[in-house]
Amino acid sequence: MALEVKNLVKKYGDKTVVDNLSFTMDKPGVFALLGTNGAGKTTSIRMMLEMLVKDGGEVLWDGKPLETNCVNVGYLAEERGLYPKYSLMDQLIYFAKLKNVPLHTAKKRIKYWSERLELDEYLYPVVKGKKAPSKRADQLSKGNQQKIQLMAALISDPELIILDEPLSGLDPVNTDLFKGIIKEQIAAGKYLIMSSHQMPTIEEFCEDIVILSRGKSVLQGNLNEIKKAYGRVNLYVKVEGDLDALIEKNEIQVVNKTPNEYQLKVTGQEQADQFLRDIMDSKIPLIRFELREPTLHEIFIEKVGEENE
Amino acid sequence: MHKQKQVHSKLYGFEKVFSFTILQTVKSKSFIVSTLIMAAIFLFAIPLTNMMGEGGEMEMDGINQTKIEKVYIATDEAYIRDAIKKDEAKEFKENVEGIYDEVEFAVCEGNMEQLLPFMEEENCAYSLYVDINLELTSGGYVVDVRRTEDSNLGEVDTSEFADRFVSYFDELRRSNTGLTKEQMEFAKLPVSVEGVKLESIEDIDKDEDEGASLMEESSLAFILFIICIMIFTMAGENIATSLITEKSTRVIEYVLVSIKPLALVFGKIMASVVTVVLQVVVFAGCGFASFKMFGGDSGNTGEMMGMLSLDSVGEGLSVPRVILAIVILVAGLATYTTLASLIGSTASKIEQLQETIMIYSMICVVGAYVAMVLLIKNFNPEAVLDMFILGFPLSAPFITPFFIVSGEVSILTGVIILLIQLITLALLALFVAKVFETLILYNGAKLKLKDLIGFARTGKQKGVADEK
Repeated sequence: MALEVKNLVKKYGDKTVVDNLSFTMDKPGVFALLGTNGAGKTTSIRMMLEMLVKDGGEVLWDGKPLETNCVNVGYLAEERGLYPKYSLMDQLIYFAKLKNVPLHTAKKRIKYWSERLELDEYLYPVVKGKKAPSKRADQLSKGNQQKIQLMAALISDPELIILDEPLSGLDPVNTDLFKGIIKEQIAAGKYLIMSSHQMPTIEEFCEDIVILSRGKSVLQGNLNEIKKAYGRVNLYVKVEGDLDALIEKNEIQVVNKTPNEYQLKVTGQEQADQFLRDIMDSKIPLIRFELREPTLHEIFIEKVGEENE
Repeated sequence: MHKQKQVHSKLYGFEKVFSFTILQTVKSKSFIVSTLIMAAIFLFAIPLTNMMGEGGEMEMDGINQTKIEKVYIATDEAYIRDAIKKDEAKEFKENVEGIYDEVEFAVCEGNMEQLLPFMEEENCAYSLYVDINLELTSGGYVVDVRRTEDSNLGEVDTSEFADRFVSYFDELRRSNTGLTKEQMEFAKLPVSVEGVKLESIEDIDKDEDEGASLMEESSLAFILFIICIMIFTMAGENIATSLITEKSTRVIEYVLVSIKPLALVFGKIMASVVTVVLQVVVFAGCGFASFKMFGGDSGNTGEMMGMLSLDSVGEGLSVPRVILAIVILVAGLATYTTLASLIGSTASKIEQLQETIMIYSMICVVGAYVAMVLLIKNFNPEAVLDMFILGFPLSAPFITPFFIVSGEVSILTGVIILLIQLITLALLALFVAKVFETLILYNGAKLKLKDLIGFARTGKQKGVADEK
């Protein structure tokens, strides 16, 4: 089983909003779509899900064109949507039916996810000791509506799960709850595509990434390999004193400076070692000296910044 | 892991949308309340009409004595004077249910001028003065009923008396001539001469056939016409509202992961049509039950049925005609709802709902107005305009079914009209199919017709979109 996105193109008039996007997921896991607002992430997802007409390219699932009414896909859209006046239970059963989930299975899954996501009081309310109809969507908070939508995305036990900004707007408790569920889905061998602005989350889950800027892919590949390719050039130093003279002497680039803390970019291990020796020789009290790979956040800022220059 | 069934049809899954939409519509408070109110109106229409009729009679009882005390009649016609004097206008009093029982009649020869002395001398506050004389210039009798300036009688007293007295006077004239009522009517017919060139015998038949308009012949046509407007407007507005709501709340993205846009809209159209038909069946059932329970031997109901002139329908009624009429009606409803779905999908925000529905309502009104021409004019099957209105897909559903049921249009013509309706529906559905995939996720300014044509040509969205 593999997902292949080949040369996806979308144009609005003269403007190309997705320009030859290609990537492959040949094994289960999480693939991240990153980009600034308006970079073309949601448009790409909509084209993959056949909601938008493609101007070029193709999306293959298991070697065949991906048709959403043939492949079991779960989708959590960036803009949440539920029927505000209909009962939650009716809506979930409807979404399950659309995915050909038998009614009894759908009910079992709703019960499971309701307990898992702590939504029993809305889906199975009890009033004066008696079972009452489930609540309407407009009676729920935004966070709880988001949980219901995650249920709708997972109710068919999908093979391919697409999560567009799954954690945006969630409180820390619910963020951890969602993260736990995402980890479970990864462990169950699902194919996940995740779009997010939260770089630490992407780093936590994703193996492969693509960074989009103005519709174009500016960087893509395995996250660890990308980081390795950058090398360990980011140096963090915390001291009780002034390092300006030593930085100038070693010709090190300053990325950021706060009182007693320096974020520097070195050319490599040798330059960092020499700089450490100079600090020790100068007897300046050293609190922290850390040489590491760039974070995804730093790579993202660098790549998107380059593209926008 | 749940494997999805292998399906490729663009309509796959419409039945799920259909059943969900129907269920949610029927469960909605607005549907339940509006249906119950309308059903109650249909169920109690007949007893309420009867009660109002009885109420009217009671009111008559309440005013069974007039304020008029004396009526002075001046006329040169001896037979009128004699007749009134003979029985003290007893015949007049009997004909008006005792209202004028206590009224005293005084008759004299001459005219209003000769009555003036009486007016000055007597207390005239509750008296009327009637002058009946032959006007040679107008070629008929003139009955002039007056009251004095300081009279306590009102306009209603005077005009009611005048109307009733004229009827009495007419009857008096008839009995004086010795003619029957029919002979009198015949004698009163005007005679005129026209320069007519008679070309063939068929012309005579045609002239005889040219009768009243459909609305004059049967009030039922007008009632059905109004019901059609209600149904078409309701069904279309339901679909447009539903689509705009789904687009604005973004639920549509969740639905479209599982089914194609065409299946979504088809399911909604079917649900809307069935919901409205269901409502109409409930209303008709309530009306029928009301007729069976309360309408049996009520005089008012009889009058009502007479007003509907069901006889004119009954003459041409047959099972094939009824079926054909229903099919045209349903095809028309499907055409209108498809149009509503197209219009509804051009908007994407709830703020655009009113504007969008107004466009649909305008189209409905245009169709209804065109159809109304045939409702109020005499139908001529050879007139191009009349046949155009019967066949025009926007007006046909409003009017053609009734013309088919009443036998004014042949079955063959009805079938041709149905074909035109179905072809229009198919073309519209094809157009919708072409543009709907683009429109359904469109989230920008409200689209215009030229944008839609552009989408249909290119099969893709050219304009600005809600880009992420």
